[in-house]
Amino acid sequence: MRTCFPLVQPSVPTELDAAAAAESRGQFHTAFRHLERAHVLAQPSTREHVRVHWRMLHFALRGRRSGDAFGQAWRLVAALCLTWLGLVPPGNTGGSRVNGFRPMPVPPELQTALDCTSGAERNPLRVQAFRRRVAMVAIGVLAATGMLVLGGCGSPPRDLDMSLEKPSAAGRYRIALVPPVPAVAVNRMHSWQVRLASTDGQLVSGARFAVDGGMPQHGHGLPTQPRVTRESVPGTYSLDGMKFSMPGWWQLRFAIDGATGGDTVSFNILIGDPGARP
Amino acid sequence: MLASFAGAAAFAQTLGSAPMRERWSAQEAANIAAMRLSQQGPRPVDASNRHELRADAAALGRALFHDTRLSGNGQVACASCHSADRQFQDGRPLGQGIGTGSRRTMPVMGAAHAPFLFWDGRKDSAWSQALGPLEDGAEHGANRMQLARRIAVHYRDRYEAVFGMLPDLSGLPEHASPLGTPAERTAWAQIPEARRDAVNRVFANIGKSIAAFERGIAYGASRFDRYAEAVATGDRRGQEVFSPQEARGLRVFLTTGQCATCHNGPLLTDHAFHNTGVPPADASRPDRGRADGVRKLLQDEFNCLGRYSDAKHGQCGELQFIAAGDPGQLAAFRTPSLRNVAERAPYMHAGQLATLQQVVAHYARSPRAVLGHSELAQPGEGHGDRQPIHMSAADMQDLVAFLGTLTGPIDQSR
Repeated sequence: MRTCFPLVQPSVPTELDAAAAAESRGQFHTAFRHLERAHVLAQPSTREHVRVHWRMLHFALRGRRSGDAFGQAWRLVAALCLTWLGLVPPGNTGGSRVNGFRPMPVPPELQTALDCTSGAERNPLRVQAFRRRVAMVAIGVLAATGMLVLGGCGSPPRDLDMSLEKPSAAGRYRIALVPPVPAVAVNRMHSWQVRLASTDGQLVSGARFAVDGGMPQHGHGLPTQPRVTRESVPGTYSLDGMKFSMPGWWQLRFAIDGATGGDTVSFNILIGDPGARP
Repeated sequence: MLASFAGAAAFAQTLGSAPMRERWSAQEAANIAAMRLSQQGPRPVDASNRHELRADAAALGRALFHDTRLSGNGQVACASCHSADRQFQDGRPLGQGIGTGSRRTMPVMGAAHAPFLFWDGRKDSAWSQALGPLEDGAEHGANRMQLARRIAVHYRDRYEAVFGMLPDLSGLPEHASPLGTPAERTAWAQIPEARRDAVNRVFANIGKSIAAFERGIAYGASRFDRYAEAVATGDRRGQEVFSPQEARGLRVFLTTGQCATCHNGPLLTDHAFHNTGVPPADASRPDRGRADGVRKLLQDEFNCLGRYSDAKHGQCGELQFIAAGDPGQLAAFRTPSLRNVAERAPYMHAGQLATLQQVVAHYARSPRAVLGHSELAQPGEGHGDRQPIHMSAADMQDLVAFLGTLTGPIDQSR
C-alpha cells in the first residue's frame, strides 16, 4: 500500500518554480537540474510535457545557446505530437544534450510522485510495444543524423562536475580551487589559489601538491607545469604558472600529500566557452 | 504543428545570426570572432630585451638581418632564408644555408606573440632565436668571436649608439665559440671568463637588435578577417566575401576537421606543442621535437633567466613553469600559425608534405605516430574522449579552399 503526500511531493509546478528561483540567483546548473526533474514528472501529460520543453527552450534562449534552443524546439514539437501516444522515453531528463530517445532511470522520489499522480488510472506510458519500436527506429535515424551534424570537436559531457570545491577522492580532505579575478584569459599565465581543509573543516598547513592535467577530448596535457609555490596563509596555497592554451574543457588534477596522508582530487574547468559556462 | 516547429527553429537560429547567409551557432560565432586578427591586441613587450622598442636598435637589426658578412662563408644572411618576397621564409622543405638544415624554415611574422620559437621551442625569445642560426654549421656557420669582430669592424658606431661601448677584442682569437668546431671550442675555453662574457654580450645584442627589427614584421588582415567581422557584427552582406565553398570549409575547420582544436585564436595557433603523427622525413632517425627542445632551452645561457636577459626573475613565467616531463612532448612540434599558409608550401616541420591537400589528407587519415603518440584518435578506435576526424573528399576540398582565405599582406610598418 503506497502512501502519497501530495503537498510535499515534487511536482511539475514546484520544480518549475524552483528552476525560476535558482535562475534568478544565477545558479544556472541548479536551475537546469530542476527543469530536468520537471521534465521527468511531466512526461505522462502532453500539456505539462510541452510546457516543460517550452521552459527549457526559453532557458536556452536566455543563455544564447542556439544549439540547445534548436534541440528544445524539436523536442517541443515531438512532445506535442507523441506524448498522448505514450511515445516518450521514460525518465529522460529532456535536455538537448542527452539523447532524446533514451529511457533513463527515474530517481526514487520522482518515481513515487509519478506513481501517486497516475494512481490506478490508465497509464499513458503503457502502449503497444510495436508502435513504440517503429517510432524509436524513425526517431533514432533522426537522432543519428543530428549527432553527425553536431559532432566534431566534441562538447563537454553534459553531466560534468563543475564544482571547484569538493572532497578528495579518498575523502581525506576538502579542497577548493579559487580562480583568479578577473576571469582566466586564454594563453596568459595566471595564479590560482588552493585551499585545503580536513573533513571537519580544519585548515591543513604544510601540505605538498603535485599538479597535472590536460584536455580529455584532445588528448594533450597542460601547456605549462603549474606548481604550488608557497602557502600564503595557513591552508591557502598559491598555484602559479597556470595557463590554458585554448578555450574548452580542461581537467586539473592534484596529488595531495598532507598531515593526514596522501590523496588525489580532480577538477573540471571550462575556459572561455560562452555556450557552456554559466 | 510543422509551422510551430519551423517557427521555433527559425527563432532559435536568430541567436546565432538569423538572416545571415551562413548560420553559425553562438559557440561557432564566438570561435570565429576570436580568430579575427584584431583580437590579438598589441604585440607584447619582451621583458628580456629592453632595446626591443628602440628605433635605432631596429635600424641596426634591419642591416644585420640582411648582411651576408655575418656568416662563415660571407654568403648567408638571415634574409637568405627569411626572404621578404617569400613570406619571410624560403619555400624549401629544409633550410638551406652553408649546408642543409634538418627542419623547415619558419616565417618571422607572429614571433613577437610566441612564447617559444623554432619548431621544437628551444628558444624563448625572438632575440635568443636569432642567435641560433648564426652559429649553426648548416646555416650561417659563423661563431660568436668572429661575429663580435665583424660588428667592431662594420657597425661600431651604430652598435655603440644603442648598446654602449664595444669591449676590447685585441688579443682574442679570430674564431671561438662554445658551440663551434673542436678548434673553436678549445679557443673559447682558453679565453678568461670575463672576456667571454663580454663577447657573449655583443653576441646577445646582435640578437636583440635583429629582434627589434623583426618586431615590426606582422601579418596583415586577410579576407577571412572580413568574413569573421561580418559574423561577429551580424553583417549579412559582409559574408559575401566568402564563396559558399569557403564558408563550408570554415565549418569543417571548426567542427568535423577538428582543426580549431589547435589552430585557434587570432594567429590560428595555440602556441603549444603537439604530436599529430606527421611522418618523419627520415623514419630511421625520427625528430624528437619538443622533448629535446625543452632540454636545450633549459640549458641555454641566452634564455629568459640567463645573465644576458633583461627580464626580472618574475617575468620568466613560461620558463619557470615549463612543462618539462610531459611524455606527450616526444616528437611534438609547435603549432604553426595558419595565416598566409597557402603561400607557404611545403608543409610540416621538415617540409614533408608538398601541398595543403596532402596536409588535409594527413589529418583525415590520422596515422599512428612513428615516434611518441599522436594526439589524434585513429579512425575506428577510441582515444580517451577524443573523436576521430571525419572528412569526406568534398569536405577536404572545401577546407583547402577556406585555408586560402587566410592569406593577407605582410605589414612592415612600425
